[in-house]
Amino acid sequence: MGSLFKPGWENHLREWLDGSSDFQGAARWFDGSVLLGMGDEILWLKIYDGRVIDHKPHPTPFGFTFALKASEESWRALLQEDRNEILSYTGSKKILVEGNLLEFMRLTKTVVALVDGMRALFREPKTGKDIR
Amino acid sequence: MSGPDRPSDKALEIHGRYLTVDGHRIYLDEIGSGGRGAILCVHTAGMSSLEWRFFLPYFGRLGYRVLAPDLPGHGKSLLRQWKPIESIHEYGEILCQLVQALNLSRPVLAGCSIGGDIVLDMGAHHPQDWAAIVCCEAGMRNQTFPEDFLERGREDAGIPGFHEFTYYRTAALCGRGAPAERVREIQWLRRRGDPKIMIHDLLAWNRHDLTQLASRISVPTVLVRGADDSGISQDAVEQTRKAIPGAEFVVLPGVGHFPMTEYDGFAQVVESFLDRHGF
Repeated sequence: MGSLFKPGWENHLREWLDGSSDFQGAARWFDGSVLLGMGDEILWLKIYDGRVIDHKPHPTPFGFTFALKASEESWRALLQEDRNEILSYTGSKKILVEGNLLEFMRLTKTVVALVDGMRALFREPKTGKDIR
Repeated sequence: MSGPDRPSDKALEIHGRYLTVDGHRIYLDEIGSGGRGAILCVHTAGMSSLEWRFFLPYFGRLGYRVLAPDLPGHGKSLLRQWKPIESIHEYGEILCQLVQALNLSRPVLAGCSIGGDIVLDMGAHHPQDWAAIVCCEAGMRNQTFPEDFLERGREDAGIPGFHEFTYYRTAALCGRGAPAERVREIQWLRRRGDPKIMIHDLLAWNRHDLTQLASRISVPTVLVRGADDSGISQDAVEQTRKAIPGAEFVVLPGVGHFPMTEYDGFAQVVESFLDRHGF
């Protein structure tokens, strides 16, 4: 994901999500993992009790609960939108959802908050401040 | 006091009422005396008459009697025979019965989304019953959703978190020009609906096909589409315009799937259309 984000952005994303009441509240009722696939780049997030408790830049033997996958160009377009359009992108299959689709539905608010964080860091790479 | 709260404007308050149509209890919002005729407004999937609350006073002041019913199973209208309706045409025939029960003479029929489908369907099946048709964010054929997704929704377990999904999806359906307060209201409206009713409405929307009948619509018709609406394509509405003799097509920049709630200028678009046709 280096071409969309600066190195180390994964740590900033975790910090951002730790400060997001939307993410913490919605993800409190989730024990699983989300894989983000942006072109050839991967970020695997293990989420439990409202927090990202681990992350890896590659798939793990545990698999994932659900994955959001698209080309780097599609992610870039999503992150450049003037508002969070993740559900438009998944609905139109510009971003593909794989894995447990029921959990994806149940975790809509978590996914929206996750993409809020990605959008913030895309625009303000260090802090992601003041951008939702 | 201002606006409709002034005592002198009492006649222009929106009033709610119930009536029985074919043995079933139906709720509707109503405003205006009707000196210039009546307008019947049909809401979107899973929603209620509240969607039209900004539109009603505008036309009430112009001298129209404006009515916005809750379709069966929506808002305060009871579910017919305790089963969700899954047919655009069935909804339309209930509206026809409602028009008879209210003794309305050839009202203007306005609707949005599934409401737009319903008014087109009624325009094709009963063209003599309407003065004009205002169809928003709909067309003669809309296959917006994957069928397997909607079929899953027949059971709550098939679409867990549907309220949340609807809440966020609704924000993406609104236009970029919609005021934030209106977007919040629409999100709230959409979230409070019964998911079962919403899913059956969307099944009806997905399966409705008026391509063989659209040319029967012989009353003045305007199709309205918000340019930001991701629920129906420009091409689908354009194809519908071509199929309906003399139909007009208005595109609203910055508007999404809910023009009557998002955008106050929508009422003027409709007024202009009615003026052009001598109402």
